[in-house]
Amino acid sequence: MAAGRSGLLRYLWFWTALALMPLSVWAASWQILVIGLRDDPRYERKTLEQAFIGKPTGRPLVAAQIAMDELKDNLQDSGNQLKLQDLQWDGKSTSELLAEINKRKAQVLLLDLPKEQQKALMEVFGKITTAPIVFNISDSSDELRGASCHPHWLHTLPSDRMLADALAQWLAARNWRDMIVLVGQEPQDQILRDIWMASIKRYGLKVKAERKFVLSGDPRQREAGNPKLLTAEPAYDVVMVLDTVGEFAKALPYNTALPRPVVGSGGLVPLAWHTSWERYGAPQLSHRFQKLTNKQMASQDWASWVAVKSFATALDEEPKANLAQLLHNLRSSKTTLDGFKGTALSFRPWDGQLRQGIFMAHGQAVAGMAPVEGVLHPKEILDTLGADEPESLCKRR
Amino acid sequence: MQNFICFKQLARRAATGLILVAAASFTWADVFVSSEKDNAIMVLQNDGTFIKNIATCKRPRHMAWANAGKQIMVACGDSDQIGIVDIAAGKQVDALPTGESPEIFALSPDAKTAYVSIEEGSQMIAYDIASKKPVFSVKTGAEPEGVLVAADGKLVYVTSEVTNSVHIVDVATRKQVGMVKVGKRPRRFAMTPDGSELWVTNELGSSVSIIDTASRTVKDTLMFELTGMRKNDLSPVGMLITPDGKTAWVALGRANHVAEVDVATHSVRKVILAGKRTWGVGLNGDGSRLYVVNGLSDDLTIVDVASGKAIKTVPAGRVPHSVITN
Repeated sequence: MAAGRSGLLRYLWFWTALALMPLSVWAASWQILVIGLRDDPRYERKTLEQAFIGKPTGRPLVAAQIAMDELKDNLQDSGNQLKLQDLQWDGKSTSELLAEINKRKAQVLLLDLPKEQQKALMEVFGKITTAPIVFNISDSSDELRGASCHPHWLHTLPSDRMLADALAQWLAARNWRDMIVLVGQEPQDQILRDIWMASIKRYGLKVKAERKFVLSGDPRQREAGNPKLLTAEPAYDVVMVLDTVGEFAKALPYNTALPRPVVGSGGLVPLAWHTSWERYGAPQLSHRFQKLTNKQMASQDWASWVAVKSFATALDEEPKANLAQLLHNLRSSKTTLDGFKGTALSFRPWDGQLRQGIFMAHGQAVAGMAPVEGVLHPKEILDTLGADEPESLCKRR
Repeated sequence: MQNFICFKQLARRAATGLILVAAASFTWADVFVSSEKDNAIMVLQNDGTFIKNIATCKRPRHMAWANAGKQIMVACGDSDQIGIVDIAAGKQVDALPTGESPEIFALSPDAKTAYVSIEEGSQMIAYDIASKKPVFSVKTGAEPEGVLVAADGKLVYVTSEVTNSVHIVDVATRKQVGMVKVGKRPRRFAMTPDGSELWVTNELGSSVSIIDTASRTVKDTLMFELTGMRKNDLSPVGMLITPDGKTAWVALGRANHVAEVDVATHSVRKVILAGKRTWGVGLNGDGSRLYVVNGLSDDLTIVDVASGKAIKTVPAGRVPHSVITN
């Protein structure tokens, strides 16, 4: 009875306080805006059907909604509320997009955009003083975390370098050091190649041969198109394939000249998320996602989920904080969060990247997780993956 | 046939007993370990000697004694039920159907009601054991886990791993009457015998939150530290407080150690190396031995409490979860 009365009093007090509060101070409703690209080639029907490992399987809205629901009650108790909106941008006019962001009063953005569109938007934010908290949930380019970085920009999807370091650790731990590296012809393939070479160097792997491949059945191009010829010699432990498109890499396992594993963009692939991982509460999240979408949760979905979860966690920790304080708590690693990967995760202060473990997966299963056992770091073991503080190219911290 | 087995077991135990009696105060205790991927409860002698496996429902996890120690109730995550295992019969004899994916449960003092955390549904459901019917349910934060019933049976405590909080449910009104924010990813409970302190392990907080049950606030947080390890390596889950209320045992997860904690001063007395990812903990009847389940090395470490040393480690099936003794 006593509990009921105090509950009623609290209820009345809450609404009285709400009525008395000036509107400008009342910042209880937080608008989270997911920005996608109209006619995004990543979501074309054919591309989705091909289901290349590591690629998104659809827009990441449901995953964001799951994270909203998880902490909803906590936030409500402290007078906060999250709202999720979706916006499809044509990818052209950043000023129009900015106007739309302002119109919708969005304080948190989840960028489901390719690299160039993300960069264009962040350049605009570089010129204005008040910017929202921006989560990159869909692009792994190191450039966004490095030379193009922005103090308001947080990245929940692991960078290419993190993925490369994870796999390099895995190979080094097994002493599978000798490799043939096959690189695609796309300009992005070359960027990826340079990143992977840095990891290969860091972990003492040996490139026995490096070759460019083409997607072609043309006998005149067989030296570069035939997987058997590409992988015939010299002797090697693994074939590393770097293919941003994914078609060649997908078909390479079991088509090599020697009976050796394929790693990189095909075969054993480093990923932010895989539904076969059975520990740390991961299956529950994957089930929740599967129930709502009838799909397997992909890395990009996890990145979307963890972005909302990061913001909600920061808000849950300091319900009265303003946007700048929340950003500071996130960016300074003060806020740590549970990403269902077994350890507390946090953002790196030097480039806004979310520290996290990486799964080594091969379609059906997860072979293991990086950082692998035995890898050491003077401060934080997760910082053995990706650009560590001294080597970060980010100037605007 | 049944008599013969009993006699044989008795003879075997007697033989083991003779060997052990000189070393430690020996009790006729058996050890029961739930093994998630074997769908079985493994039965061991108190020295770790394997006796047999009892087949159970799928993915057995938390266990509790029932029917005056003649039966074990075991939550089966993949069968959506609590299996009733009869020790003498050596098999599961009954089941209490539950919501989807039960993990931890606790019984009312009169043993008539089971309070079960239902992971998939984000709720705590109370079941009447005799009629096998749900009595009431209370919504919790996502992924409820630990459940504890106060000694007087009036309140039930439930952790929510995702919302980092402890829900307090009043049994009489069947409503949540309080919520206490604790550390990151709260997992399991232990309560001091006088009921004044409720301890909660925070897996990602590397800590134990100590709740003052009267004021329903966190009065202290016990942070674990281990030489040569970082905060992230310490992920406490399983925990118990001894019946005399003086000592708490906390499994430190990936730190592969178990901590002996002084309850009065909230300070760690010592840490003992066990196996990989220390998980569930159980104490034998006279408190002389601690059993530590190691989830990643699939084994069970037996610790001699007096000397604070691990005596030995024995296999414990695939993904062992909990341990209880009689």
